[in-house]
Amino acid sequence: MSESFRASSGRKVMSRASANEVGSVGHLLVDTEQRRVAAVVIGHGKKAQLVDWSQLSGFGPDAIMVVGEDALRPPADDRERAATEGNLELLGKRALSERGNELGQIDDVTFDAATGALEDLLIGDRRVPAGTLLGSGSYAAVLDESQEPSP
Amino acid sequence: MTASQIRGLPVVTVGGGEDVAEVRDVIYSPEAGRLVGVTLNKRGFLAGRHREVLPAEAIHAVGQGAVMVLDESSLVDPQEAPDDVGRPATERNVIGDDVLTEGGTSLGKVADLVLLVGSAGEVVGYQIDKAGGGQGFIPLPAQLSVSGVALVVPNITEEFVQDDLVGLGAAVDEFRARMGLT
Amino acid sequence: MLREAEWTGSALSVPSIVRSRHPEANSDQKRRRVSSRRPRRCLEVTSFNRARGHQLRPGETGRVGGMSPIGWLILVGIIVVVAALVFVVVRRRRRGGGVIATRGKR
Repeated sequence: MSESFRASSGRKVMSRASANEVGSVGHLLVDTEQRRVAAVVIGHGKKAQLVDWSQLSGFGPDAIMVVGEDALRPPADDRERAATEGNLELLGKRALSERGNELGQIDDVTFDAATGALEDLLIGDRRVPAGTLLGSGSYAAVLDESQEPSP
Repeated sequence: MTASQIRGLPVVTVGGGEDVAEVRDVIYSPEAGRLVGVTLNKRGFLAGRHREVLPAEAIHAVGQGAVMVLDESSLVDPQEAPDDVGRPATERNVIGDDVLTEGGTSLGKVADLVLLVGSAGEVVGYQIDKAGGGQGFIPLPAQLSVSGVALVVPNITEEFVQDDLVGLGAAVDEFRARMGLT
Repeated sequence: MLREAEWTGSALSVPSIVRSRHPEANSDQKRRRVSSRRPRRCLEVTSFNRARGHQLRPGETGRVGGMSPIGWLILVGIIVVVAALVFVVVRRRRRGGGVIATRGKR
């Protein structure tokens, strides 16, 4: 089933083990090399915690289910810390082509709710396959040459 | 695009999506007609100069939004870069240069440098503020010599001052042909 | 008829005739020292005022300490000027040479 970053932002995160709410989706951390959702950032800023995708029993339309409260962990490295601070958020990120040209802003990202694999990037009125994503960071997301704006 | 459009652009890594620096000076070879490198500033409102420089070989691409590099290692220490990039001849800044014909007539002043989009930094000519007012473009082959104060061109250049960039490409070839004959 | 409170230099000595809620304070012949905050009304010139070069006369109110409005204005002005200088200096350092031609071969 197809999910979107924008639609799932703020959705509640529940523990399967206790049926308690553990928080809500703050950001989705993406592995740009594998082009999939690597972890869910619960909350924002200094107190935010991460849950690896493998620790989810399901990413559902009404709730994200984590196997248990102990699956929540603090950020482990600089990249994860940047993610909790929102610097790596793809929503609203500037999109640049590999050739250095502005492509617009990423309005939404769709992905497979079962596997976390990214499907498409929505930039303005264009739908761009996630396979074109070469890298992304705090400044921009870089897409390959096939995404050159038409002259 | 012009050199002044390149100055100030962020330098962005392809894999990391990070803006690691921004363009300070554009350094070009008038003889070879191409970009040889850029010097850098740090990113940030009041941030200062960046010690490292970016030789043209290390540039992955130049676009209207950013200068792309593969990763941070593309930025090098000034000692490891060609001398003109690591130690630029700041007295040879061509902006504001008087455009003088061999015969001693001023055609105007140099306003900018024009580079070919999507090329490996090929310079096609100069944008000038014409002596009589307005802007013009002079193809690079017209340049006989250049310094920090003047750009010297053949007398016939006056006929070749283009009003817009569109004509510049054709003017370059035509000028080369004309120069070959004289 | 109430007698005026006397300024003794460090405290107000309140005549016992002053009534207060506290029952003990109303006991006769007892003078109580009322703990003092420095009163705004100076009834007597003190050496403190003389040192500041300004004498307060009886009945005159004066502010002790603090900076004059002109002083604040000057301070703010200095901060603005310094900030502007820093801004200009750093922006100038960043601007750089521009478009530089390589040195030709001699």
